[in-house]
Amino acid sequence: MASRQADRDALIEFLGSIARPGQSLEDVGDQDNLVDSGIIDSLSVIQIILYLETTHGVNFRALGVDPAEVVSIQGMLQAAGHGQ
Amino acid sequence: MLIDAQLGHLSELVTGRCWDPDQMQQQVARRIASYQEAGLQPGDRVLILFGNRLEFFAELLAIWSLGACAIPVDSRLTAFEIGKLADAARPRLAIVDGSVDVDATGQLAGAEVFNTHEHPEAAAAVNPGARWQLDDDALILFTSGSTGEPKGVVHTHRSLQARWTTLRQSLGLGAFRRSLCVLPTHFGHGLICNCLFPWLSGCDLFIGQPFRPDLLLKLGSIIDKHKITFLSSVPSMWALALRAAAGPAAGSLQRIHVGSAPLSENVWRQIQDWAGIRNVCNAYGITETGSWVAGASSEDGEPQGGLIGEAWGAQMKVLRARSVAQLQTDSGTCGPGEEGMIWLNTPALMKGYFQRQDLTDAVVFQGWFMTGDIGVMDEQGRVLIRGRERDEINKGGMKIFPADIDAVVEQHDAVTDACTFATDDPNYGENVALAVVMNDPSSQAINSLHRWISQHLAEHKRPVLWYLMEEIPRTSRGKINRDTVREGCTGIEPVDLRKVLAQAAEPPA
Repeated sequence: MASRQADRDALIEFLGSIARPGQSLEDVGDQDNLVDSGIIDSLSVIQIILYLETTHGVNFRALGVDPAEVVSIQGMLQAAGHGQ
Repeated sequence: MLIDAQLGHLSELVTGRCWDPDQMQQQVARRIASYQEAGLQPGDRVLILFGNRLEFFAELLAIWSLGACAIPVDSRLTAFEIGKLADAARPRLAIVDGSVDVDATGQLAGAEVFNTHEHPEAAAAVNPGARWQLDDDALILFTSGSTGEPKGVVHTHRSLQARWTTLRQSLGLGAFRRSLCVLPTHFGHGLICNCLFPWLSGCDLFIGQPFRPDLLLKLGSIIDKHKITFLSSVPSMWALALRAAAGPAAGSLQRIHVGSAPLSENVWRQIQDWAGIRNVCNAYGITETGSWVAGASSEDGEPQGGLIGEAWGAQMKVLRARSVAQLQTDSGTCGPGEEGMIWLNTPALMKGYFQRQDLTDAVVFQGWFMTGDIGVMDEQGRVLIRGRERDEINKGGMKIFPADIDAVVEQHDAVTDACTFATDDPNYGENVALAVVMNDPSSQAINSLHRWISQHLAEHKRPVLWYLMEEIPRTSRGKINRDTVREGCTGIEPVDLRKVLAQAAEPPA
């Protein structure tokens, strides 16, 4: 549980670093689509994929990506679980 | 309807909607009836403020059938930018869908606004007769000046037909039978070549929303599901697809084009491996030439960065002259390996820039078009691009003109001087950076400038890196050299925009 919370905190910090300037993650729900809601740029998804690959060892190309897994916080945490 | 057009089926990837040629003809007829009633005349101009959906193509054919000229506009533009384009184009009609910024519809220079979903059923088949001529204006694509003096590339029916005819002759149609377009339909590459070339030749076309990560992440399975034989692309799409999308497995794919931005040898080879085909082509095109005018396929030789091969139904030369004025005195051709300016002579060349004969004269001389690209020709007669002299930022294939951004930034009260320039970007190849001199560099003023830019510039044009400067270096003639400014910013820490904007949002203590 503590690990999941730590993963979540680290993920939020990372997302804050790639969010569009002036956009806040404070009011974003875990299931919200971060691209559609304008928090991140659509091609920033590549940075999320790189983050999940390097931090959690997820191999998206081998697993096949469900796009929903890389555009919401909940999906990203689920994807992180594939690599652990 | 276009005399020699033989429509294919048209499908939307996301919704699954599909119109066969008969359904498309019915949709076109409904629109013709609406616009005839509205009094649309040959020569009138019509803005289309949406794209990448079935209705867009029905609108286009209806406009052409009535002898009018279509102006597809990037739906991401701000109301301010759309207003600038409308002021320049003076359209008779503007066509919107639900995605259009409602503020923009108040800035359409008096154009009558139609919603593409509200055309009544046509009472009977409408035959407008031949209301267009081959040399009528068919399409205007605005490439820059969305904040100042818009620059629109005018194509006639003749130049468009020439593009499609030369492509049919040079490439055939076999590989294009089921084409996929995930590029925007408001620019030449996506519209003229990826969409209209195959679709108006009877091939089936599948269209998606541009640069959608959910589509790119499933690109291989989309290709398999729809038995796609061809797609075009820009290099930045592949950053995502190559990293995370499984490649196609069903064997339908025959040909891939990559264009609008430099393609590295490494990415070229990776695309080949991903797709499992050798026919991956670095396609070279410019809006002014109706897009694709040359290309190099790895089927004919090893991938090589910058290689654009040989012209398709055109003449391509590397000349010493780097301007029309120089060409008038020196038409010398560069020898193999000698660097020069790439010039093109093609029947698909634009008619000119919309109401800007001065700009047209600066790049066209006796049918030869100065591309602004620097290149060399090798011993085999193939051309390789080495750089460019055009003043533009190529963000993943989207061409952004620094002067457009300068013009908006300089209008803000806190700004004394500004210079926009290209910065390297791992995802897009290039991105937008801004050097700015502010008379008030407080976080409130920066926040205000950020808001100003957001209101006036479409998102893809907004600077991602800001450098606060004491002054912008200028030449002795008072001109800005963007390369010098970029070098001057090297080593300077950019403004931490996230922090500054957060500070500005905090209530005063």
